[in-house]
Amino acid sequence: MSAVKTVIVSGSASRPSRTLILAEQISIALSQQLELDLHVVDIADVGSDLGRALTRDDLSEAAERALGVVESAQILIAATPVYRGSYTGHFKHLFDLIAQEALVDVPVILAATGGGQRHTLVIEHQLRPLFAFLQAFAVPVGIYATHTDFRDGVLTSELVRARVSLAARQAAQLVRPANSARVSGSRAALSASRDAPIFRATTEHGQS
Amino acid sequence: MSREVVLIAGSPQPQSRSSRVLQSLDERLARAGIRSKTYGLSDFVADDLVFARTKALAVQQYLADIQSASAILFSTPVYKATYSGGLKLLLDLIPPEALRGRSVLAIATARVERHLTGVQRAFEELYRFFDVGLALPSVLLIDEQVRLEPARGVVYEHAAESAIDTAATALLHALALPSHGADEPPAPRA
Repeated sequence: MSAVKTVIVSGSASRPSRTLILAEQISIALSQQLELDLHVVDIADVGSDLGRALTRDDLSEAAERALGVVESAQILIAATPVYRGSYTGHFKHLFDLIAQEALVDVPVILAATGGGQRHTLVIEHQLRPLFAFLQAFAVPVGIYATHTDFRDGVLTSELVRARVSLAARQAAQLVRPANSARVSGSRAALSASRDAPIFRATTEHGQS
Repeated sequence: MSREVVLIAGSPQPQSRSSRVLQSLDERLARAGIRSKTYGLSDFVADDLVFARTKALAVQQYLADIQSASAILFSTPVYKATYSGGLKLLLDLIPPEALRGRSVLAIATARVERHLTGVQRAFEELYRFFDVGLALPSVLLIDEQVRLEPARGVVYEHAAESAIDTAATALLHALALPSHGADEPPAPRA
């Protein structure tokens, strides 16, 4: 298999960002399993352009390119800081602009950074339903880290690092070759039937 | 003078269904003599939202109005089976303790009914986070109950109209509760 197009989406507008550090750590773990073609879509870069766009048609070229990168990912690393108990507004706004069928069957690693242990379930209660709606393959192991898991800009927690490895291994197993007939078939079938019920077995449509 | 109610419109489109429902609710409050202020995404510079610039004048006014409001209403279209990123950007500006003890009411419009359960659950999680006082029943409508007609403006299906009436009544009752409102300092979290 040629290099796997892997895309980090980081929902943090701040620099330096623990969220971005965590996402990069996940990409390093993935690169031990697969040859990666790594792309980073960082809200700190594209947030202003996305914020000015109310619909997809309003997007600047740079923002449209960024969304195109997300939509063509073979593996997605979706990472966000926890704001008000959930993903950030920018993170959600980015995925609001993503085509509904674009991430069908795409392996996704979910990651979040928060201020304390009380937000640990943000991955299960907020992120996972979003990617379930998009029919992506969110891997079972989600990664949550707090500021105590980092030291001097490095993810130092052994526990979190172990979860990073586990999630990377799970995602690597799910990668499909680019332009696989099954993936593109099911995506095309879904986009052709946008008004039809969304929750259905996509593999059957892939054969048509 | 303090505002009694702050309305937050989370749709990127000011003339969207969810914004129109919010506006209709506001009209009912106005008829009952309630003062209100509506905020939407277009009231802010994009970068103030992206970088949460709480020192920006528009953001300070927004936060001051929320601080002095007894009730907060917000509306959203349902995108990806939950509230919009636009609404979340406006909520991200609000300090975690600013809604403590306040009455809240949410409005959502969705293309199909099953997505309304997802957004309701997401609202409840926000309420828990913000530790709100009274969470009034949400107004959850599907698009076909809210018709936008160029000549007549917004036309509600009967059930939608009565949902909005019921919400307005509930809100007026909440605002009339004794010692309810911004004059009472919120109790410190235990």
